[in-house]
Amino acid sequence: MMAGLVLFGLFILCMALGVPVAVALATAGMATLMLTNAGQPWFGLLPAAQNAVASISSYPLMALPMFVLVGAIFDRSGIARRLVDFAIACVGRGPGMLPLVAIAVAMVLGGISGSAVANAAAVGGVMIAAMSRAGYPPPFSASIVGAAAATDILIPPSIAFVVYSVSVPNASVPALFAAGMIPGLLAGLALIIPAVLISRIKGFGLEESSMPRPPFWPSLREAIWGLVAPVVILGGMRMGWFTPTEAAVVAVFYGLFVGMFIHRTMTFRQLPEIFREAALSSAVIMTVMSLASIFALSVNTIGLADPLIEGIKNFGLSSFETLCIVMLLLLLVGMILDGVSIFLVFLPLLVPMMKAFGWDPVWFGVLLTMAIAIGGFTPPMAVNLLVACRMAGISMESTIPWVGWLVLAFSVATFSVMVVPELALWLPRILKY
Amino acid sequence: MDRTSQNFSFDLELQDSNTGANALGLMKAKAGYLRKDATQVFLIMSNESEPKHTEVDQVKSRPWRLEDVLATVAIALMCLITFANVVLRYVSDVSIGWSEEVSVFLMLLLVFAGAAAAAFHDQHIRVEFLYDSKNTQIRRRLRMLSVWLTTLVLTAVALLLIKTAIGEYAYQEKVSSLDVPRWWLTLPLALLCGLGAWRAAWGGWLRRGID
Repeated sequence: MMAGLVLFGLFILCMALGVPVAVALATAGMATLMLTNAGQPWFGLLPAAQNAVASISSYPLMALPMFVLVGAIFDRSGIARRLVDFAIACVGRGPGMLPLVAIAVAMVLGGISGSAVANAAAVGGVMIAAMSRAGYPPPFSASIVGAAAATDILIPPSIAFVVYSVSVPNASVPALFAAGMIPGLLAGLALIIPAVLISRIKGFGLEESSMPRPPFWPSLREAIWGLVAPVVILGGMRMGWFTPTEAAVVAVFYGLFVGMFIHRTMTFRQLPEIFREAALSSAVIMTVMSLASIFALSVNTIGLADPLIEGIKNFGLSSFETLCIVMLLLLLVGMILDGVSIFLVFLPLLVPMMKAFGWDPVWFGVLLTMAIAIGGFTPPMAVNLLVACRMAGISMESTIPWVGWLVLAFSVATFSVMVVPELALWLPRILKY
Repeated sequence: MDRTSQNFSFDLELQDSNTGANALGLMKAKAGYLRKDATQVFLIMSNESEPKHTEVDQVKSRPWRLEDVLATVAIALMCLITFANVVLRYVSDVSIGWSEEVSVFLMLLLVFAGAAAAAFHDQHIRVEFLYDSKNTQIRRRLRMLSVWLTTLVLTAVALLLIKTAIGEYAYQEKVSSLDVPRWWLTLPLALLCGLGAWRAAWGGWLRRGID
């Protein structure tokens, strides 16, 4: 118990003082290990370093840097703008149409990229300027872009699912990818309702009606390269042509081809910088994964999970009530901590809990991902929203009147997946994963 | 800043006229959460209007140090090997037997080298509630604490990995699938970790007077 207090106390203290998450995890983990293994040579820390390497020595995990790279490449491939044109050609002009287009395009891009931040940057780069020209207030546009990008980590491929799958061995990446599809679409649809209603009620985007509507066929021809990409990636995985990792690599080459030879928005000289950017972004995420394994090792060494679960069971909470509490807790933590870190800090405790209550690991993974997706656009610490706000040149506080409605809509979608597990589990079962 | 690394620097004039993001003149390279990956996503799109705080804060034309080169080459090689494997499998039904193991090792290099680069630029993910405090005194102390702890943790991991490598050498452990001594793989990671500790400390020193 004492060791548990040291572990979490030190971790929370470090985090509050702004120490990098990875370092905070390692500091707390190592200190606890040294306390419990004081008599052993090297304080019993050798397994800690070996864990730090072993935890990221997994081939399926390679999908993570690859999908980060896909995001960085598609961001510059000019695909987002063409998808936007095509979407406008489909739905037409009018109040509430551009927010709808932003959400739809974010969802299509979600089928290509695995990272919500890359999605927010790609969609925001096109939509925020377009929406302010049409008379939508920038805080509203930024909220829409930030929230829409959150669907990215649900719609396959998804970095969050890769991380979850590495920590939870009996939830495979393909099964999680399939399970995220319907909840992701559901969340996107749920976002469209407040987006359109608010625009109609407040009269946003009235100028939009007088803007020209792009012609349908030419914009389809332009957008076809982007529209085909999710089909190739998801279809290729489904048909067993390639593994998730290989699908990401195929998408990298597809994106490079389209960006350099079809849309001509990239040059060879940019490639080193794009690759470096993706390498460093994924290294930052994976450093947290690596050092979090030291934290997980000490959680297991001091046996923290069992007494906790015992306590909850003795408290007499039902399975559903416990799940509600877990989700609420994650929503709160998601307001201040980023998604991958949340997974890594809490999974050592949540996985034994999942087993104790008999929750389906795939369904549970989808629920956790939905919770951290909401955290991605809930102020004060919201990565997607922050990207969108930077692009719109506004403060994050200014989005609060609008973003609350979107959080509510996304939460309703999450709650329906909680109540109806089939929403997540039906597709993987049909596809026999 | 070290002059030698300038030789590595690619003169990049990146812009993305499509997204129009450069027109917004965004992205002051402010220390922050965003910097961890988001600014890298589109700092590249931003144009010249960036205020120059210090050389450490510039991402756009930031010099290519050893760790940047290693991480970039690693991710590029991972792509090439995997793609070659996919193509080979469909063309000739052969697959490169060692591709998975080598890719995983490249990924480890990518992470340890990238961690060093991120440590140098203070770009690791953190909660910034207090870290970006308005009070200069508090802010300076917290940055110092971060730098010290990062250096300490990376040094500890580096030492532990060296100890592990020595053990592997003594027992002549081999990586079964590649038939190479295991310490060949562990030692480079230990050294990169040590480099990360040095970079964290050095980056902290360069940033010492900047608020």
